[in-house]
Amino acid sequence: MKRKLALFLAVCLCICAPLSAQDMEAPGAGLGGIVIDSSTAGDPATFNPLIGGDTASSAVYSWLYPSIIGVSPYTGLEEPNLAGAMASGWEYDESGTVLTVHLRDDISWNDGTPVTSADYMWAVEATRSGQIDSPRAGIFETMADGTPAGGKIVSIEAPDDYTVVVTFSEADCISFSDVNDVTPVPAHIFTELYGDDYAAMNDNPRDIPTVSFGAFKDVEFAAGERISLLADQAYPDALLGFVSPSELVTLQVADENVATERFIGGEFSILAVPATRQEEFRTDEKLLEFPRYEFTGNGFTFFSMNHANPDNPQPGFDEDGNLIPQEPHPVLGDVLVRQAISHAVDIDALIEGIRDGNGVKVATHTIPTSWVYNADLQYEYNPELAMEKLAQAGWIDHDDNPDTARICQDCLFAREVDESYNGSELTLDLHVPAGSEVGEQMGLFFQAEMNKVGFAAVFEAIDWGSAFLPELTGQTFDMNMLGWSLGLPVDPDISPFYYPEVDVPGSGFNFVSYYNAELIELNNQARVVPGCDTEARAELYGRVQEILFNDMPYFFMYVSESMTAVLPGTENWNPTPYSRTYSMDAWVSPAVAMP
Amino acid sequence: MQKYIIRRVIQAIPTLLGITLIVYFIMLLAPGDPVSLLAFDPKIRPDERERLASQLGVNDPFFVQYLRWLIGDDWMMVDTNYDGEADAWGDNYGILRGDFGSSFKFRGSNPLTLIGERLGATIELNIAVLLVGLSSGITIGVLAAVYRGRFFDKFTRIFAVVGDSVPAFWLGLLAIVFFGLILPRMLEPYGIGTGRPILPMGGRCPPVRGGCPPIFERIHYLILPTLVSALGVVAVWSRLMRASMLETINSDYMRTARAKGLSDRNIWVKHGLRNAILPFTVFLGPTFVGLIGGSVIIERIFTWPGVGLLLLDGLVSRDYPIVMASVVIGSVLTVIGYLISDILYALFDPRIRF
Repeated sequence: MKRKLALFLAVCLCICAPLSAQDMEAPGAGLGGIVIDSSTAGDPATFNPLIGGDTASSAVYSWLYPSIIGVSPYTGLEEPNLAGAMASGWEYDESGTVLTVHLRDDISWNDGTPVTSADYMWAVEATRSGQIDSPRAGIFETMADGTPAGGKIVSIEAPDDYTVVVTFSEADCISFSDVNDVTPVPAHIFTELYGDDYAAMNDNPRDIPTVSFGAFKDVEFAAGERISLLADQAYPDALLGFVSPSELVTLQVADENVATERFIGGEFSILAVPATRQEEFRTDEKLLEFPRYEFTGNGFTFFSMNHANPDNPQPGFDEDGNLIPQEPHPVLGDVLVRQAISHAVDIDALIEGIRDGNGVKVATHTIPTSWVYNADLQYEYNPELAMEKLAQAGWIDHDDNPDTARICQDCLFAREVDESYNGSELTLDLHVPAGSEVGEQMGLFFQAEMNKVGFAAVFEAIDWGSAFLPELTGQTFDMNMLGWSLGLPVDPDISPFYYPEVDVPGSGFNFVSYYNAELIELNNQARVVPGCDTEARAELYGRVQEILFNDMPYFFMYVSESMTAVLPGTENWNPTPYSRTYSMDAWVSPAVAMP
Repeated sequence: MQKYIIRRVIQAIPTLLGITLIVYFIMLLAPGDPVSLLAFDPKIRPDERERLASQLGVNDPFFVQYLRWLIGDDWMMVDTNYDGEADAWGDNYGILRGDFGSSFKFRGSNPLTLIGERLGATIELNIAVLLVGLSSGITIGVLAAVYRGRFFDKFTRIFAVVGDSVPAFWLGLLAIVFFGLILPRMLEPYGIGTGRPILPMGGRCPPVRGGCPPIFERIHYLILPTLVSALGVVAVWSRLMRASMLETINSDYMRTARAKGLSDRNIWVKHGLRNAILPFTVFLGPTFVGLIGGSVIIERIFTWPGVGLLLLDGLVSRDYPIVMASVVIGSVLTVIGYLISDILYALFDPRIRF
């Protein structure tokens, strides 16, 4: 029912979108003022989408190149005939392994050359050549020279200018989005620049594209300072038929508080309001004049709970591909302890008290806007139950004093690994990355809540690069907190995080060494559902969520409530849950303050 | 003098090599690695991370990495297809032959180019800080000595302690809020301004196309970062200047000058200041180098596009080539700074002979 309602809303939004565009008015091409945005992501490494992978780079080249399949700013899912994208439709063959994508024939690069399948094929061949520093080569089954690449795309062919045929090694609903990992580039220009010497792109990462397809063009870059793009009136997908702003400038700002003050001072046109400042924008009279849009974010914050002994991290598989039985974590190896933690910490109080209410409590790996989200799964705050579960797990309150740590009396580790562990205290290290005031407050809150039920939890904020990341990937932690952005399109697949293949100390993303055969089987089934039918997939993912909820490899806490604000007087701003800037080509932006 | 300079330059070579060796060692000793930071993405498979590590050469033993950075790898066989076997001669020349390698984060970009893009901004800011800081610090120090024990002296002594203690990031944020938001709103009701920021709250140039205009057209962008950064310089130099000036006041030649009936201005400026300022020529070079090194915070708060931010980013992302290039340039500047100070001291004080 919920899913149907969500789909109904999505359809309504899609129907409303063109109407909104029709309602928009602007003084004319390039007369809508200069849009000034801020970025904390640093300098882009490249303007070339084939070798770029960092956020700062993609923020620039996403304005300059089309995607082959568009992702709707309303639903976060792939849809045909979207602005800025090539696909007009697609279908799978009966086996589900051959995908035919039909391309629009009404779009051109800004030098007048039509955008065709040749542009996509050039990008595919460059990526598959193995000559370029591409983070996307892993989508292919093999590289051009035959070396295995680990992906599922066997081949990509272009039978004509407006058709692309992708063959997968097996039917897989997830691999569909791999097709979009390669960004089409103007083949006529790239051939002229690089020919077959794809490696030359590595040596010239900041080559400025002379031909592009998007609302903006012509990059001007000042290191550490700004990136300026000019309006491209040749963009055929502009909402109003022309691009309203004359220019889009992105200024570097290293500190989000500084960015906020400068926005309030009128130096920026748009701001992603930090969580700690959102309440000001809701209540401060001076700030109420700023139009704002509040939405549920596309990511969550969670505590990882290491299942395996952090003193002896092991990979999921041995060299022959056999599962390695892992020694359990002395405390968190027992599911009862993990569940006790979920009852010990009042997440509602955390959201209200520390995040000013800016968060939606979640208990699984999906977000409330997802088509598979199960809102019925919620952790219950119940310290009594937490203490009961700890006692069941063999962690007893030996002195009837809740302020002291419980001790092990026939707990899992003592039973299964080392009998001498009996009498050990219920200690855990809680780590969060240093530098975030909110994160540190949450760590302290967790420590206090857990210690109330008999833990001796010790909180510490540690440096991301030198301490947090090494212990996370090295699997030498007890519990640590992380925020995770899901990206687009939104898909509930769990394979990158929960499979034993990715339980690799030092580099895998199954940080907690979690393994559940039923879960993997269900996820595998969900990936090969005939026609990738969402209803059938949602049912399987529903069960996946239940297993994750009970097993608790992670303590999912909340999804951020985010806020974006623009300068008073901004016209045609049409924010959506998945994009606050998709209508930027129609904006009429008031003059920013330039003393 | 020539011999002295040559001797100092020769002495600097082992110093610089030592610095690079120690910094490289500490950098590699620190927990964390560039591959985890660059490839923290579940879509990148473990074997792809291994390949990236091979490409960057970060899996090699410490001395191999250091030698490759120092003298290049065109004398040794390296693994070019990343299959674990060395198969071809390397193509790096090392910094001794002018090859600073390639940034890990900005792949394909020469660290010197990246630093060069930003060095101008850092030097520009620090020259402004030095000019404002020294001229104010020296003036305040002299006046404090002249009016010793009076209100001005007491005030400047407190100011010096406060100025030296206030963290730049806090003061910077206050300055932004005050000049950008509070002051304009206070003045608007009186018909002064439009309620918009009086001074730019960040950046080095107006955010418009066409590059950065000449400095005199954007001098207002320098005001806030310069004032905030110069506060520490003013505090230190005014205190030192006051002490030096008081020492000079009691010397025989000052008494003689007074006995000769010279005007106060002549006594203080011509005889007092000239002699009191002499010891500070030694600090000039290191102060400038210190300012450049300490630019990180000011550049971050005011979004000043200088080397400090690049270095900070390089350290955070374990971009060894960027960090090492910054260290080499910083070390060379420090050596040059001290050398210039020594030379100036000899030029100003005829008693000094090398």
